[in-house]
Amino acid sequence: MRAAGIEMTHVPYRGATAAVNEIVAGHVPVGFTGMSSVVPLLADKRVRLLATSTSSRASQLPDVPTVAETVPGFSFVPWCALLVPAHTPPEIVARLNTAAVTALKDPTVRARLAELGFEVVGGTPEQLAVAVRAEFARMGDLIRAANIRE
Amino acid sequence: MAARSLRTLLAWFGLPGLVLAGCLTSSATSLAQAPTYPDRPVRLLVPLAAASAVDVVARLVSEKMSDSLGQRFYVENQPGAAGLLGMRAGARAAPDGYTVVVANDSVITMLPNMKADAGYDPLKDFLPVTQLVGIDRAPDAAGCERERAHHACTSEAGRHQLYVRGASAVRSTSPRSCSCAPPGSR
Repeated sequence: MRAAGIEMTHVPYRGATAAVNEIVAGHVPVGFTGMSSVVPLLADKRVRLLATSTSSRASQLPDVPTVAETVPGFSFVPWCALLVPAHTPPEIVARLNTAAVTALKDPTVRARLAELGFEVVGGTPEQLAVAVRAEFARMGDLIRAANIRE
Repeated sequence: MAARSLRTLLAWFGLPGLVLAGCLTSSATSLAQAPTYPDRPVRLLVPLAAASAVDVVARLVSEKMSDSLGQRFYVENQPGAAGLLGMRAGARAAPDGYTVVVANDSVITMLPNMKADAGYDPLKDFLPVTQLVGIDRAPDAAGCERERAHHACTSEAGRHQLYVRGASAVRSTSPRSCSCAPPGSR
């Protein structure tokens, strides 16, 4: 919004499902949410996609422009990860990593995740550590700059 | 090797075989701890509601993890306060491998930046296991070079776009979130 020079009123919901329901009902004019909450509604045109939030267009939604096409450089991708409490033994972290990465390679899991609009990532604990540190710093900068507080 | 020299040492001092066996068993147990993990069900703690995006991913992955590790991985949702409650529970859980947290970017990178009293530090209270879905893995060495170059570019794979703002980058192969509006709205 800052980059685009527009103002919007933020309406907080308890979860994406509740927010998307309000958009479908027309109570809220526009929403910003994860693709998995919206993809199932596309078939019967219950919502209209305005834009996707990452750098390139979705392969399954080639006609939907990216926000970056209007606001150059814009990129925002939700993600999720496995963590364990600090001091969990490294051998256990390694076993969990192997099992999770194997799970992500399973064709039925991949197909289901793709259907829901998720991109399978996987990777090592070290790669996740780098990503978490970078994203934590980036979000911290963004949140302080916009003075976002709960 | 160590066992043999221990045995030699003990034989040297004429200690009974029974004591020796006891020593070896206890040392073998501690050494074998990781290979026997998991020997009981593992809790996948999801700090968000059932049927949320994270929950769906956790359930899909947990089934296959159960298959490959031979123990049940069960999802336990602890929603509340936008994920704070579950994350606090995860931070306080025993670090024994029987609690694994499945969390999203919001609870890992946003909430603790928004609340001074979040009650957990994602960088200190947790260890990373793996990313599941979302952004592509952290930039490799070549990616970091490009990051410093401060412009959008393509990685060696030729398909990853790398866009750079400030000091950090987010790389992805396809969009995973979107803006949407009711049909017919302008």
